[in-house]
Amino acid sequence: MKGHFKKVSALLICCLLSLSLAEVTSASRKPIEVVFWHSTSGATGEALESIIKNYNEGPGKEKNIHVNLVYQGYSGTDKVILAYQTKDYVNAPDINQGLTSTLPSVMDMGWSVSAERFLSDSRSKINHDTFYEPMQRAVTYMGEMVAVPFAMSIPMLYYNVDMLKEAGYTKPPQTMDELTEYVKALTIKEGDKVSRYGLNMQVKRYQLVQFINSQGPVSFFGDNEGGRLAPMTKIVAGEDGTLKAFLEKLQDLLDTGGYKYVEDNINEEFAQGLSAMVIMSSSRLGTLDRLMPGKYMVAPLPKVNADDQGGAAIGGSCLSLFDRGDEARLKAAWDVVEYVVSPENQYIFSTASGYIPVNVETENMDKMKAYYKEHPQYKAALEQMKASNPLSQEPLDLTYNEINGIITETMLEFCKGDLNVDQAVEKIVSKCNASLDEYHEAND
Amino acid sequence: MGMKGNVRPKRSVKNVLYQILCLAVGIVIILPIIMAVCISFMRPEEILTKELHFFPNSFRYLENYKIVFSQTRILRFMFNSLVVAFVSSVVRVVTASLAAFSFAFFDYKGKRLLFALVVGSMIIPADVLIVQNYFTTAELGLINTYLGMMVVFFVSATNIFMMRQTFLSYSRSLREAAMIDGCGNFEFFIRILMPSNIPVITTVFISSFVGIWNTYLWPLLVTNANEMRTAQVAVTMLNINEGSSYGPGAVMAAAVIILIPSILVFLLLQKRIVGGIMSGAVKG
Repeated sequence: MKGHFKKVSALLICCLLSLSLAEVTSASRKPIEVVFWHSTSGATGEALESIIKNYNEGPGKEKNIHVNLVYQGYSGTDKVILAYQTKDYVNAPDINQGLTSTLPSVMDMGWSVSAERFLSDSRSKINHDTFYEPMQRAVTYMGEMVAVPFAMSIPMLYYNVDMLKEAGYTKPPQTMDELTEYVKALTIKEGDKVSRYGLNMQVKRYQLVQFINSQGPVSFFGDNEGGRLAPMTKIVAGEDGTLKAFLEKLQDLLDTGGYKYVEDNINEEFAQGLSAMVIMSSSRLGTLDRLMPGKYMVAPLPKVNADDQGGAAIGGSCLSLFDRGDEARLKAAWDVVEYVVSPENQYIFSTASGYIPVNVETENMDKMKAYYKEHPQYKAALEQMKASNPLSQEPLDLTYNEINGIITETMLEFCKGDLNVDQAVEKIVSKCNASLDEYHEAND
Repeated sequence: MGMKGNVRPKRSVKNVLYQILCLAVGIVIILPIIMAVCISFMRPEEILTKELHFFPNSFRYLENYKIVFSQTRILRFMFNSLVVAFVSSVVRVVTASLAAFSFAFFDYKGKRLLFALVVGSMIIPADVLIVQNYFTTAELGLINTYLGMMVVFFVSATNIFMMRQTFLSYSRSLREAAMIDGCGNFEFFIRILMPSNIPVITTVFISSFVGIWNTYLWPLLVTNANEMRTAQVAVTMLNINEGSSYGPGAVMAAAVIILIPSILVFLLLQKRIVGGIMSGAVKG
């Protein structure tokens, strides 16, 4: 009886031990979950989904990492900030795709991890040199590369090849003076009504700062090199004359009567031949390839003055990392970032979207070269980015949304003729400065 | 007799003018919806033409609808919206009617102050409360849950105010008679007050259903999973410029699809409003 009891006890202990062992093993097998918030949809979203799917099924599986890709629209960064303000670490992401212009706000949060920490680590598969110089600068704040370039684009002049040919032009306009001449020639009017506009572009913050930066080699919208060396405190584009110079050229464009200064459906209207030229981000290349394949070409942003050296500013979104108190998770998130910006994945992402590949190796891939041969517009965007002065960057204006509102509203008033050049300069500068002052009063 | 003869044509002219005005207002309100339906059946080249073009060449062009169903999980999103809007509206009717019952039929210390607080809360913009509401919802562990998406919609000061005003016009002697017959407060509320106030209940339900159905920001804030998104998010997913553009046609198709439940709720419950008003009139 005693022997029997011993046997049963031993068996029971064995069972319990193996059960707990199995539990420990299964717990250690549970993959590390990396939450990745993004804002891409359509073809770009599909490309990102396929990249992440490949990661989860390949390297992720090997390394026991699983990425949970979540679409957040353009409110992802606002949601991260909200989660931080309310200390909701549980429901925050590990990676967020946000606009480069929001970097100061993102880096203000205690849980943001500067990408510099990983980029300067010799064990990392990527470092500063993985990215083009203008892109490095685009995500640099107070001397550090704080995020990783991801979906980057540059503004370009898109033109309808046949329309320019019909008007007798063999090449696109290089300067704003030439642009005005082209607009005069390309506009078709039926009485008072314009049936084809020479140019469509609404001047909002994004467009305005481009024409300021491009007047360099060194010209910035705000002080501290556009808010990159230290937080921006005032607008300098008014005092250095770059804002006035641009508005004077824009006035010439308005006087032609063939410049459409509001944007409705700019892509579709251009594709339907309702405008001969448009100025917009190179991220629209994928869209226009679907709307009007082979019928358009792109050129660098026209210069305000013939001797301008700055070139257009690279912009777009980047990947920021957050430390939610789990080092293993943070390292896993960096592994995902390394994968997403690899040459192969940047090929997939760039060809689906029109965004410029961020990895310098991508353009040397045979299939990328072949793609560029078939799609010279994509190559033109890359070349324009490389030709731009790295200092030509979108400003890191601390009140980004408010400044965008001020510029959009003032430029509409200017285009309607309610304000002259000097009044528009004064209004933009004083209102933007007031917005920055308010920010500093509340936050410094 | 002669006088009567003069009055009638005047009245009928007035009536006709009134009808025309109502019709004109109705057309102005419904025109954008009809236009959205028409655009949803148009090809891109039909939409972006300079000629005035109201109706599509053919209502058989369904590409825009195909894009909506292939590019977004609209049915799942609509299911989420339906759960959120329906449950929140039902709870709103319950909370608003109970609060209004108290404000209209009982006398107790601090009632006026309480009511002033309720009415005062109406002037606080909802956006101001977002951070605090998010904090509370997160603390309660309700992020990524239906309850988290709904909880902020459970009580509405406007609805309490609306129902209180209706209940105030309800005869107090009827309640007293019911009490004499042995009816308790809750029984009076359930069996007499609520059934005889169907129009206001329906109005509250419809307005809150439509309002919550159209909410975009809050459900987006408190959910971090693709399958928990609401119908409004589907429209933003189609309204893109980078990489691919589905054009206004697909956006309008999505808008038309997500409009259907709101219209159905209104059509199904509309008779209740009119019926309720009519029955009240006959009794009165």
